Amino acid sequence: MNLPTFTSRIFLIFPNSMLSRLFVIFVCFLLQSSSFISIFNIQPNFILIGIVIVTLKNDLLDGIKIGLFAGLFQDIISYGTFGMGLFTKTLSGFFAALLKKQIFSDNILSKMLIVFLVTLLDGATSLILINLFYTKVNILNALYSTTLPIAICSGLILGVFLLFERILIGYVVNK
Amino acid sequence: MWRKFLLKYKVYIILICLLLIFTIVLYYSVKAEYRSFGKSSLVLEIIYPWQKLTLKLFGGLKHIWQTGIYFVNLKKDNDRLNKELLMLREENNKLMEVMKENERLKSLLDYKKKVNFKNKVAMVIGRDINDYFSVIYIDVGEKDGIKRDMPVITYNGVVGRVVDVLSEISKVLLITDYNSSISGSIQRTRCVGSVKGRGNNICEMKHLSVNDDVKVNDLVITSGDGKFPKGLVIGEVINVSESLDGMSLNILVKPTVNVLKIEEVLVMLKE
Repeated sequence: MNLPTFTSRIFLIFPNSMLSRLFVIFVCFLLQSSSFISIFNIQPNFILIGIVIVTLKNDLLDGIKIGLFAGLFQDIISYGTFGMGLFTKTLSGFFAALLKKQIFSDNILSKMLIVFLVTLLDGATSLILINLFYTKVNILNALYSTTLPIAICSGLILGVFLLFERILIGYVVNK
Repeated sequence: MWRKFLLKYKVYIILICLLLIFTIVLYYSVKAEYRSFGKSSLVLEIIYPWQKLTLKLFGGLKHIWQTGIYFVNLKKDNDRLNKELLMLREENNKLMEVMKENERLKSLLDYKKKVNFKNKVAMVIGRDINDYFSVIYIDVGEKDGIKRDMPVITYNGVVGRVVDVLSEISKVLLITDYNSSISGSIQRTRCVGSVKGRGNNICEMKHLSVNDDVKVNDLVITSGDGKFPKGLVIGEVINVSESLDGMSLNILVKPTVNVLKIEEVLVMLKE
């Protein structure tokens, strides 16, 4: 199984790979609900970062499963009405897997790009649903002022995390 | 042939079916105004200790991170100066933190004395995971006498209202949320309208006609018609424009409270 490096290490602790990946998503939820990590007051979307990290390459169905779990969990604990998280996160999980398949995702920059694109897509979907079911919102304006900064921030945070991970692995291997 | 087609596009068919189901679920839950929080208090009771643990863990990590940054910067100097400076800075940092906290709590206490309502000080322990709905969690609940719809404020102005209460935590819907709507008036001219959340730390004031006198920098306060007592500051008008129909005004209001940075709040208990 082509597990990402980060997950494969957690996989050693939890024998079931799906369980280990869902654990990563759970940690991402905890990070998202606290507001410790932010860049210029913008908090990245850790759930989408988590989805991109744990989604398997070349497996679209896996992306759907991971996204569905994340969406279900979001809907259970979030204030938004039921179904919003399920819709947006399932779609995001699918696109994360699709982009991982299409883009060479073994380097840091492409992973950052995937998170950026998935966050933009998640934002656009959320805004369309808000427009359809809640209230009229200027989608382009909201995309520019809210989603774009979150997408950039999420990409940067993942980049920093992966860079740290790479440095750490290099250090351990050298030792 | 159908079998081949189904096998080839299995994932896409599953995705489309799921999305259709979720759209129907969303449609009906919006129609029924179903809020998941109230039904899932058990889930939150389970998550709450984890959330508390994360807060503590990240508090510690933040401290280590700051110390680390200081260490890297001062490594260029000699060891003695390095250690001394590190200690002094760390101490200074702690003092600054205490001082800032003192200032905040003092302002809150002063404000608490001014407010006629009984109130309860609460700490913000978490935020909603959804970027498009503005909700915070506070560390007071049913045990502390908190009830649904109680106004939440700071010394700067209105924060929001309690939407759900558990034994030890409560959920506060911020005024910037798309679902939030409170009655407000322009302080200078007393024109009354409805202040609705627009997300992204911005509100919108509605139901004011083109004849109403509203200018940029006008202060918007609560009108006392709804659940909030009269005279609490909501925000400042940052943009006024005519609507497309030419009958009403589009007014953007910037809340005086920076909802992204709130750490302590006051919950106004009902008499």
